[in-house]
Amino acid sequence: MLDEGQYDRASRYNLTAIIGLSGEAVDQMAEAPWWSGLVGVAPTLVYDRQASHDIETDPDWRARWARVTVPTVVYSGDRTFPWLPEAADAVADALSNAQRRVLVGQDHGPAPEVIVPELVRFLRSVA
Amino acid sequence: MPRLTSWPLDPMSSVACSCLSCQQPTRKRPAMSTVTSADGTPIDYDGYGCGPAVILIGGTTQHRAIDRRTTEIAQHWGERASRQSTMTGGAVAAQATPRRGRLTGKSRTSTLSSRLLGDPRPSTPAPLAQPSRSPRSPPASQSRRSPSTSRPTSPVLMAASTSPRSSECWTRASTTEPAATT
Repeated sequence: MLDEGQYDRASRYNLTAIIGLSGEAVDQMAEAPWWSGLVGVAPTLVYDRQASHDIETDPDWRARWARVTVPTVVYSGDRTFPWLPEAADAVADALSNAQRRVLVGQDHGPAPEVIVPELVRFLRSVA
Repeated sequence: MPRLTSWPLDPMSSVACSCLSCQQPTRKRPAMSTVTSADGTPIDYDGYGCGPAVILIGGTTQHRAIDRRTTEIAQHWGERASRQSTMTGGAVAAQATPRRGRLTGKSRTSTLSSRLLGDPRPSTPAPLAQPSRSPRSPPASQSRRSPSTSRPTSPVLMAASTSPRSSECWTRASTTEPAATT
């Protein structure tokens, strides 16, 4: 699709078949003013998929995460899709050196005044 | 953080220090520039503040044209860092630009990420840092970007930097030629 310049179609494919949104939801997104901006970066989806494909498809993904030994903090908000905190829990469990934090009142795009102090706290704790 | 900070300081610090020396909030003077990763992927970035970098990477498809939030986080970080003696520094925010169309390199993102994040040696700016300009000159990427509208500006990265050493930022801010500090 991307090779043929079908960026709109590729974007929809990414949101539905890969990310799991409904076609209806994506149709609504396509009405938003930012849709063209999203479609415009469709070629970058290849980067994202290359980066995430192996770990997303590896049945032994826990072992992959376990090899990450740098201090890590995994955040999620408490006002987001229910599967995101679940995924965050699982990843934090699998990582060998991770903290797990929940940001109250945040979705998956946390407010700067919430996430920045959190990250500063974390960086100080591991510096 | 254990040295995630191999980000080249020159392009960031020059702009950050110009911000500080003229007492302008970093929010109003983001450092914008472009670097090229080792595999040839262009990366645009915005910078806020100065000092060793903390790099913010937006989620899939997020970039500054449609994702204000990541930029706001970088700005907030840079301003906060500039205010605090315990974690002073500025910020640098960035934007990355993969080439449009077919991608040939394998694991390009991984390569790119590792170049940005993985190499702790301070002597590695070569593959990343070309922009060299005076603090008051317009960001190189502006002149570079405007005539090349055909070039996709499809950032996948945002970066902010902050310095854990309070003196670093203000020392640089007090010099008129911050680029010379490194």
